[in-house]
Amino acid sequence: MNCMKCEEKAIYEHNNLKLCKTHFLSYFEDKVAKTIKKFNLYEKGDKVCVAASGGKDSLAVLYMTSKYCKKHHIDFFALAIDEGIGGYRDHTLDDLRAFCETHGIQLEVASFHSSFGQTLDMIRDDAIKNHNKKPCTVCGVMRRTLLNRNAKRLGATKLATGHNLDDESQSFCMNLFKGNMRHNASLGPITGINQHANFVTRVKPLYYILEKETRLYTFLKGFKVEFTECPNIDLSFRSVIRDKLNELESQFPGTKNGIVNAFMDALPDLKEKYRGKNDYKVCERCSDPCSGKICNACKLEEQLCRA
Amino acid sequence: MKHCEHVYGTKMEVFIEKSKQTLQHKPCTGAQLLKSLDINPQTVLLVRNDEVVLDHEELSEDDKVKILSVVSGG
Repeated sequence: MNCMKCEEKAIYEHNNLKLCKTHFLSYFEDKVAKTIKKFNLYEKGDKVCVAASGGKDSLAVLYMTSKYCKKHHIDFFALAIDEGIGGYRDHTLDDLRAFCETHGIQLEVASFHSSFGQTLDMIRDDAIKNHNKKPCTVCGVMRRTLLNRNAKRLGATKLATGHNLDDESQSFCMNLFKGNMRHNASLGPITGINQHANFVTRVKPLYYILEKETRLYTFLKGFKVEFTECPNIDLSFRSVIRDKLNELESQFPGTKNGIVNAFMDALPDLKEKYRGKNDYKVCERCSDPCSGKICNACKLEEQLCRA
Repeated sequence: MKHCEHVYGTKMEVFIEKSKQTLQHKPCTGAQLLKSLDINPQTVLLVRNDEVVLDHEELSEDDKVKILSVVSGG
């Protein structure tokens, strides 16, 4: 089967798209650049902080950010969070350090241990047994807090993440199935604009990119990405939704695109409906933005890290 | 459809990244290989002799096949 744009052999086929290596790389990069421009994810005067883990999504978003920001003279750097998950994060951080060195990218690292006094491995069992908290919930809250806190501290105006079409369709479905449409109003390619002075605006340049496309891109570019799956992933609701959506995508190609396109169509109405209900206050303990008096990270820190 | 089986002693070598397993498999198409291993094509890249191939392509004896996992992270 040949590429739909030239006579070369196709190496990517999805939903009527058939592309050779050269045209797949162009398709990927154009799609990301268009997303950045369409939603003004990066603008002149911005200082972009890329949340990086060393996994394929973060390497792709870091590389594309580097390419775009260098071309448009926008400051950027990478920020990694070391949660302390043995046999997982230590490997991806090694890959990330090597990648940043090769591409001349400034890398900052913050850790659960230095910030909360404990690693995720140290509090994992206590969280499950005594507090009925899944490790992914604990990790997600603390990780988001450290990303925002450190991005702010380092002067970032935008916080870029490697969230892709799979992630977004999963998040939408998770909120839908839990009857939590209010949280869906907080999704989208750019979030947190003017939400709070202490909240760094979050952007998702890979918003319309499938996870499989990112893996293919990193493979074709020769980025060192070894398969590493978080040992806690099977405990999450997300993994169940992820598998179901992959089954649907296999049977009905374009399902994930359809979900996100339908969501984007409804997003203005969702934002209007929940206007003011997702507003942030300030945590009484750490001054981070939060919805109540005490932020979730401070609550978890008290429950799990000070026992 | 001709179903293929993973049989020891044949020449096509298949490495599965997720389970870090290497096995021998009868030659077949990529789609047949994934079906016989119960792997959803959406979740993997199929690589033959270090080149990405589409699922419908034939995989032959002496080929070194890798099934790279798309899903990673947490």
